[in-house]
Amino acid sequence: MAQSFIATFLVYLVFLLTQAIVFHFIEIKKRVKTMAAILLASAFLWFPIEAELREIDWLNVGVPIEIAVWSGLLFTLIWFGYLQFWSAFDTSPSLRFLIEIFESEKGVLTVEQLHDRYSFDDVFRRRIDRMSASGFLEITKTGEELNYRNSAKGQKIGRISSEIKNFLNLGEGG
Amino acid sequence: MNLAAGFFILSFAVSAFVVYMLVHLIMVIRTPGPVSWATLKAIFFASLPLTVVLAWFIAHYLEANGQNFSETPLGLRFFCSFILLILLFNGYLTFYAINDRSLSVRTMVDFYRDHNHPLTFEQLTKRYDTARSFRRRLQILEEAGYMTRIGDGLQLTSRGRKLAVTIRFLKIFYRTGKGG
Repeated sequence: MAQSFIATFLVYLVFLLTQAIVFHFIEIKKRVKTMAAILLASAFLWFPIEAELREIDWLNVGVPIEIAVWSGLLFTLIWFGYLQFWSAFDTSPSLRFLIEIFESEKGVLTVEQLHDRYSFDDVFRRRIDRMSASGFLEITKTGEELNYRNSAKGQKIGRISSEIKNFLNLGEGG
Repeated sequence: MNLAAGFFILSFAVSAFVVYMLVHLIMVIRTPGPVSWATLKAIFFASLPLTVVLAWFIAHYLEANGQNFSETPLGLRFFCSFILLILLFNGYLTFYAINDRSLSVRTMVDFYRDHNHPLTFEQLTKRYDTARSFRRRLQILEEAGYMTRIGDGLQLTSRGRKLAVTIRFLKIFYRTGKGG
């Protein structure tokens, strides 16, 4: 069973190296989809690696269903963890604040200067556009104006997250 | 490594995670407003000694029920268990962060609570109050020790500078643009 841990980590190592090479040399627009494709391609390496590791006595092979369950669990957990890291790295406004201050001439910015360099209204605009494109918001047109509201999918997530925010005492959040 | 060792690892990691969740939930239910990142981590590390006691009980229970996993080195069992536990903890942190800070989730929740009345972008911006969100993120960075205020100015601490350098390098390396 330990071989499922090791094989999964080795597959992720291959994935990280491949991603680094691909992303460094090609400017990718659909980054998450590309990462998922690279992971899927790397996942095929799991089979020969696991077969190799089976030869090592102290790792002692478990029954096939056990190995499959462990590997599936690990793959899923690591993937979600990595997606979270990537999403924070790629889209977090807080990290962008740090970079803007770091790149400023004197290394110091007032709140107004920071706001001028990086408008939070634009962040909100991009999020709304992304939610509309992903089908979480629907757009209706009244005269010249565009109106936004939750789609059926957005309403479901809104209801669930509203309950979670209440339960965890998170306030309005955002 | 046999089936019993696998069962030990799974039961240990899941039980330890349940212990953490119980402590965490008792705390958040009693505290109004979101809990800081540092507190979430502190609860995790504080509950680790309890998990060792838990592991001892699980091992004895399994052995008393005829399970034998002595062939599997203790270190390997704990290593696998902790990896699983850290992944579960990380998954929960993600879940917590999304529900606490995500602009998208907040927008959907606001629509849901307001009976899904359609709004223009300007009305949405007013309701969401982007200035408040902007200030809140700055406050979180300050509390986490990544930046500090000097008069009216915001300056990075050495921790913030290290993070900024690393992230900036990675963004250039991965060609993602400035992001945000």
